[in-house]
Amino acid sequence: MSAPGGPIADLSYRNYDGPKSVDGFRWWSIAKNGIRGAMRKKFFWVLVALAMLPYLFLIIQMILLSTITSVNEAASENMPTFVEMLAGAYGNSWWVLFVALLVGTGSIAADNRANALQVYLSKPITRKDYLIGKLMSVFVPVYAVTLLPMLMATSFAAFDQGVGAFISEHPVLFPSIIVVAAIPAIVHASLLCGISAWNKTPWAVGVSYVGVVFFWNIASTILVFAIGQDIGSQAATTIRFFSIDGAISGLGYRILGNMPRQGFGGDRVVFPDPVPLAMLLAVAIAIGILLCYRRIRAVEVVTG
Amino acid sequence: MTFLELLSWTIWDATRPRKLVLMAILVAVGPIFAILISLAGEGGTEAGYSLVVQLAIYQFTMVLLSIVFACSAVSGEVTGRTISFLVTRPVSRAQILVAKFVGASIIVAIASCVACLLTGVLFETDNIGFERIQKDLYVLPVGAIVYCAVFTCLSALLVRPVLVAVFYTFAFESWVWVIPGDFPKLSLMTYLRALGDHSPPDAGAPAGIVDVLAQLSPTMISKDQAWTTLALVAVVAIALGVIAFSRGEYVPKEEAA
Amino acid sequence: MIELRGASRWYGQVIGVNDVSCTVGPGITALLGQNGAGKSTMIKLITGQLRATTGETSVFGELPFANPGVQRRLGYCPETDSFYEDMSGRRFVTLMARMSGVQKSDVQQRVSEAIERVGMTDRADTKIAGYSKGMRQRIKVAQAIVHDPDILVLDEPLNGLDPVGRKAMGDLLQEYSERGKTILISSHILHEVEQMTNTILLLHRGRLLAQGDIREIRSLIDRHPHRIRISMEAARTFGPSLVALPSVISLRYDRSDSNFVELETTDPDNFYSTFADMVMESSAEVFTLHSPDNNLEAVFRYLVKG
Repeated sequence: MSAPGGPIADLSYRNYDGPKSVDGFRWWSIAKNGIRGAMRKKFFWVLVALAMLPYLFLIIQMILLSTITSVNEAASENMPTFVEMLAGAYGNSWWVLFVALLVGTGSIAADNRANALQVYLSKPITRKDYLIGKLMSVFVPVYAVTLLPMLMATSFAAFDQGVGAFISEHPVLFPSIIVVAAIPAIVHASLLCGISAWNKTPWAVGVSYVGVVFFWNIASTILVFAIGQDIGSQAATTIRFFSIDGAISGLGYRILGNMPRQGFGGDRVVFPDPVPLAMLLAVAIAIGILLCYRRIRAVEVVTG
Repeated sequence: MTFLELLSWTIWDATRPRKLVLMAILVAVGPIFAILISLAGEGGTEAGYSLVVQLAIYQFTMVLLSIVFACSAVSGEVTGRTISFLVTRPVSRAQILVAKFVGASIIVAIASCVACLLTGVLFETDNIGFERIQKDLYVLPVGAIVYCAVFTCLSALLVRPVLVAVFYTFAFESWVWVIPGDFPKLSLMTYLRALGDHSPPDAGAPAGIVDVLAQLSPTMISKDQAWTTLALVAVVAIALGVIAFSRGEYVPKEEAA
Repeated sequence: MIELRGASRWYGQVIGVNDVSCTVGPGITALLGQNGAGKSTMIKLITGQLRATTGETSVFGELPFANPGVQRRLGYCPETDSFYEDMSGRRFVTLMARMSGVQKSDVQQRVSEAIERVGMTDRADTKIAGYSKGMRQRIKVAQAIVHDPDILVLDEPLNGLDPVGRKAMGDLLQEYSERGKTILISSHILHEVEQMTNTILLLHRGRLLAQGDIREIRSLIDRHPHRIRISMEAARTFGPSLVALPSVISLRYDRSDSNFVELETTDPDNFYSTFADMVMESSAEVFTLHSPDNNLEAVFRYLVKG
């Protein structure tokens, strides 16, 4: 009597190929596990509180400005608009990056270290489920940390100015916020998961990611100099924003329809060209997902 | 075991192939920008050199190398679960920590100086003046010592020193220098820049770059103040790190109970 | 040499070791307990990696925490499999030897001896990253013995070793024991430990349940009489004289095997000597005689389950 595949048994690893009862949402169990893990960390809540600070300042600023304009109407002409302030708070997204680092650095690296991929992929979970689950475990907290304070500040402004008047003045602001808040979440999630998939230690993931982000920041500043463009031109502004976090801010400003007045260009609002920024982010997201997908294999890697 | 043997081990540990590759990439950052600027026809200017050295080498290469090599001094042993081999040996913990700090400082200083030298050469030394490069070659080892001291201390104190170090250097320090008032004095980089003495260019460079360089050149701190502050920070940090490491219990989280 | 006096260790709300008092002297002592019983915590207290929250731990009369004087005379083999993966086994043991105070002039010889002693000479110069679990275990033991310590503390050293490796490890520890060294070995592989020593420390949920000689401990467990299984010629004929003995409280035959009898006794030592006399008198042939619960497994089960 011989075995079905011939006399020599196939001892290679096989993915689970039994019935998969809960179609469609198998990734959620992985995502849920990651999100719960993040929420159990005290430091996560400290970072969430800090990420909300710019929006709390925005609300305080709005209260102060409405007090000033009620006393001196002429002063309102030079005051920043709500969307301008909202864009300013969105652009100060340092804390969001740190929330992403806390949640995302260990996402796959920790599984690599413990050789847990074998365990995951021997369950009724496909490679795609695992990838989506891991991406969502970073995306959801980062999206929530960006979206909720933006909605909170905008709702405050709407009630402050009168909901009807506010919506007629900014008809697409709420949908814009929903889209804008997703940009840092998807970029950080895909890149962090991509780097995490190729490492075994979370700290190495964190250092690599921060290195990539800040390398681009410095590169964009130096490239402005290298190209020798007029600093107030759209080309120079686009190059200035041509980095990972610069592109997140730049695209966000374009979608929100306003940007803070400080910085290059002085008091003039010079929007960056959204096409190269969107392309940069699209490439970054694609690279992150590709890196991740290529590495997710249920094989114990023995080195040396 | 002699201190020198411990030191040579920490240097060996820090120069394993993966870390060497990372080091080479970080060292290449400054020279790459120097080539780009030279290709754009802006090479040979002191403004270009100052911008690249201050942003790419002081604030990126040196800082990131310090994070990589010093932050893992103790916490890397804890997360790698090799700490039990170290703390059960008859070698004083102070000696281990100081050896790790000195080893990290030496590597970071050498790598940063190489990056600076290459950048200077690519910017054409004759135009910039070798004295200018020489000044940076003195300041970068000082920066390496101070940052490595602070991060070694964080490594002995915290479970996740990298997150705090990255926040301090890349979020706080890259933002605080544009704030008016005395806030920039909270950044170690401000003191290093004061020692580096990169004065803003008079003319020739684009206006925005002149603004950036002007902001990067702190005027509120004298060189004496900078020396005193940096020395004090390094000594206090390493003393605090030694105290913490000598008294601390380092058991990986999963092994506790 | 090793003494714990009312030592407790808390991890926040969780207690690792609870009010443990014991002394460990020369020879092999097995530290036994289920997973999470507190074995590793106790070992970390002894090796000076942790301080007791209350009570005291002393080694050679000194507090071991960060104490180079104690650590110079102590060899420790941790449970984890983590190493400096890029090092070769030889380089790792050399580093540990130098850190343990072995003179530079002696180090090569000591390292070679230790590596040979654990049977790793042929693989000592390859990177640890490529070692199997058993090889890692051996190299960990090599670094623990390289400086010839007076106390050897081994946390689960038998994990991952094949039967030949376990036998070799047992021989190595016996040799150390015969040289008057103190060896504390934690394990949950009871039958392997049983072949090495009769002296145990039994931990359960952080508390010390029993300490001392396994046979003495067993004899003190009155609630569980000793079962003795005998296979002998004409067992059924011999049965009535056995049950008449005052120390025998029950007796059972096996329907399928007329030579088999199992009895329960409250005084095994007395029974064995009386039984020997009876056998000599009757000239009956005894094929086998053993007690299924006079072993570590049974003691462990009785003490833990009550």
